[in-house]
Order: sequence, then structure tokens, then C-alpha cells
Amino acid sequence: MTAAGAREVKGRDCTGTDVMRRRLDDPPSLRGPIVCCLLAVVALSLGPSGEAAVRAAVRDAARPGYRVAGVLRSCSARLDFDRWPWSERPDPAAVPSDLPANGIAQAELRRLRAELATARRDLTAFDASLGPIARVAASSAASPSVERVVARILNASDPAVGPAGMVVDAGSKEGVESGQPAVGAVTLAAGASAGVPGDALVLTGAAVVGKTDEVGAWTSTIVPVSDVAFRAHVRIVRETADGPAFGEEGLLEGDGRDGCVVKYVPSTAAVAAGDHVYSHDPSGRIPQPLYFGRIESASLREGAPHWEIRVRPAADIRAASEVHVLRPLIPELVRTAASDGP
Amino acid sequence: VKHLSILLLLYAALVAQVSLRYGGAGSWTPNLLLLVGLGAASRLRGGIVWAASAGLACDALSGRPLGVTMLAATLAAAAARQTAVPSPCAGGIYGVFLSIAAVETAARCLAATVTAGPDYFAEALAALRVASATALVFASVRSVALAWGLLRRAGAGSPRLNFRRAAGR
Repeated sequence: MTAAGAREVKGRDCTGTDVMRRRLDDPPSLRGPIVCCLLAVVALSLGPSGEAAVRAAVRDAARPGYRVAGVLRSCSARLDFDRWPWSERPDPAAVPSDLPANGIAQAELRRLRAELATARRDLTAFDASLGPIARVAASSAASPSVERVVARILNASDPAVGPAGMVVDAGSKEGVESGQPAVGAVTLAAGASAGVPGDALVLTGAAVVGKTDEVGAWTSTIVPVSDVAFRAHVRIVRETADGPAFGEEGLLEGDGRDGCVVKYVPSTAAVAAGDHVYSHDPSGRIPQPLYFGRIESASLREGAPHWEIRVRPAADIRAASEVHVLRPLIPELVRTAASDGP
Repeated sequence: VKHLSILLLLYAALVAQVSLRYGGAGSWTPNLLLLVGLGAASRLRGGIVWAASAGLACDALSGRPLGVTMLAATLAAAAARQTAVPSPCAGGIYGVFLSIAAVETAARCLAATVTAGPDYFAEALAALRVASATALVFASVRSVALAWGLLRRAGAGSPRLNFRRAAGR
């Protein structure tokens, strides 16, 4: 159909909408749908690496959206809908007269103070339990073998993240690769007082929250430790009067709910509830022992070759706002840094 | 130019959808990508590519197996073209609701089948939530557009503007 023919219908000019409508009235070709369906089938049959690449590209493209979501979350957190309109400040004179509310607030304050004291006590005990381990780690972490990449969690508010995982704003541009451990940002359980030098002091005892999975240019996903896809080599550590006793190795897996299990610990090993679980890297790329959590229960069935161990993770990624991805430095770089140093 | 504007609109929909989902809308997030993709498929020749692209982006964002929403969106757009069903946007809020609900339900059930976790009832409910939110967003946008059009017409019919036009002539 020519343009002139298209513009004249029954002796009158027609609009662009009429032309478009007539084009749509033509019998539609099936070539486009068939090609698109074939492409969909190709997408369905992509392997894990291809699928990860597509997801990472779309996630990278949507990065402005994640940032806007962060702004929206912070705005909604600041707004108290019970005190509309927000432009009106509460009258200072009205506060003291509201005695029941003040009483409730004071009770809440007392409760929070008690909780704070309990938390400080727990933290002190935790520090004490990690002290010897920190000294052990210090000897193996004298050289800078690991680099930290700070990554902000972009979709922290979503309660049902599902298989898409937690998204953080660090990708291959920052040197992040798939399978690297991510630790909580505030995990300083041992410091210079424990004799840990340099970078080691922020890694030793750092609680693992997950590991990187799909890595894009600017964003990555993190598989939480409780996810069924999470696996890591671990070692059981028992606190004794003479210091920490390193026990058997095993394989830690997420149980898909909010905990983990440790498999393949032989029945001949000594395991008990309350023991600690630390990372054990056979390749030696991350020599510092990273903390996974405390053993909740350990049972041994009659005649079973392995223990059944459940672990309560020490850190919850859903409560974190940022994580540190640990990037092992390649041996050449480590040697260069050591030779350049004083 | 039309396809370029659809591309820009699709990107804006992607950013807006992610913002809404992680900004607090949660499972009530409207599927703006499908809205734009299906709208383009019904209005543009060759627009079915946009429906397929929107479906692929939905799959990548939602964690579903890649291709399920792409397939559902393509089939829905093709069926609408073949059976001369009016476009989702032309059908108003009900058209948007039905088309999004159909594509979302089909994609979720297909994904549940592929991943061997068939909870079809829950998936259908989630699809209805998404379709409702999308239809509401569409209705809001349409209301704003309608109000804007009325304002423009009122401005065009005002004696002051007519006087200016006459003076211009």
C-alpha cells in the first residue's frame, strides 16, 4: 500500500490513526510470534552461566530503580503516619500533661536499657570466646591476602526475595567474583587488643552472611547462609579451658528456612551443642577463620556414620544494610606487596 | 521513533517497577513492564518483540526461569492480534486486568511446573494481586491524562485564548 493510497479513503484524507488501524487490520503475520516463541524456548534452555549473565545485565540496568527504592524506604521510615500533618510540631507544653504516655515511654526506655545491658554482656562473652581464635588467625594473616569490598544491600526490605537473592551494589567492576564470601559489616569481634594486625582484625571472627552468586558489572546477588544453595567447608571449634580446640571438618549447607546443617562430620568426632562453627578454606585463599555460628543441636543415630548437626547462623543478612565481600588477592599481588613493603 | 520511544518507556517501566517493589509495594507491585510491552504489541506493527522483551525482563527480575513470562506474553499478544481482541489499553481497566492476570498466571504456573514446585493456587492469587495493582496504576495514569486533556480543551475554548488566536491571525 502506497502512502498516497493510504491517505485517501473514499475520497477523503484519513488520519495517521486510520492508517495505523488499517495496517493492523491486515492479516497479521505469524513470523514475529513464532520467532519470539523460539527465542523464549532458547531462553528457557539457557545454562546457568547464560541465565546468570542475562539476569545480571537486567539487574545492572535496573540499578537506578534500586537506588530510588532506597530513598523511598528511608522516606517512609521517617514518616510517622500517626502524627499527620508532619509540618505541625508537637506542642512542648502538651507532652508533660500526657502522663500515661510518658509512663509507657519510660517503661519502654527501661526495657531497652535492660536489653542493651544484656547485649553488651553477650558481646563481651563473645569477644572472650573469640580471643584465642583471633590470635591463631593473626599468625596466618600476617600478609594482606584478602581485600574487602564494601557493598550496600539494595533490596533489604523485600521479605520474599526468593531465588533472585539479595542484591548488592558491587560487581565485577569492583573485582567481585562469584562464590566469594560476604561477611557482616559490623562484626569486629576481636581487635588490636587481641594482637591481630592490619586487615586481619576486621576479618577474624567476622560472621559470614552469605556468598556472592550472580555477578554483574555493578551489582551482584548474595546467597544467604540459610539458603539451600549455600555450601561451605567448615571446621568445628570447641572452647576448652586450655583454649579453642579445633575439631573435625565438615560441609555446611543452608536448610532453606533460617538455619544451617553441617554434614559429613564422622561419628567418631566429639561434637556437642554450643560448639562453634568456623570456615575452613582448603585452598588457603582466605586463611582467616570466618564465623558461621553456634551448634544448636547435634545428634547421632544408631549406627550412622555421620553426625546430624544443626547450626544457628550468627548473622542474619536480612538485618544488615551492607556487607563486606572478601576478595582473595592473587598470589603474585601478595608477593609484590610484600616485596614493596618496608 | 515510535520504537525508540517504546524502548525508553520500557526502561522507565523497569526502573519504576524495581523502585516500587523494593520501596515498599512488595507483592502488590504492578507489572509495568508487561503493561508497556502488551500495549506496544497491540498498537505497533512488530510490537510483539516488545512484549517478548518485557516478559524476559520480568523473568530476570523476578527470579523465575528465564523465558516463561516471555513465552506467555508473546502468546497473549499473538492471540490478541489474531483474534482481533482490542488492546489491553483500549479495553480499559478490565482489559488491563484480564491481560496481565492471564499472562502472570500462565507464567507463574509454567514456572512452578518447571521448577517442580507446583503451588498453583498461591501463584494464581499472586498473579491476581499483580494484575489488580497494574490495573489501578493504569486507571490512575488514564485519569490524569483525561484530566489533563479536559484542562487543555477548557483552555482552548476559553474566550481569552480564542481572542489571542484571532489576534494572531
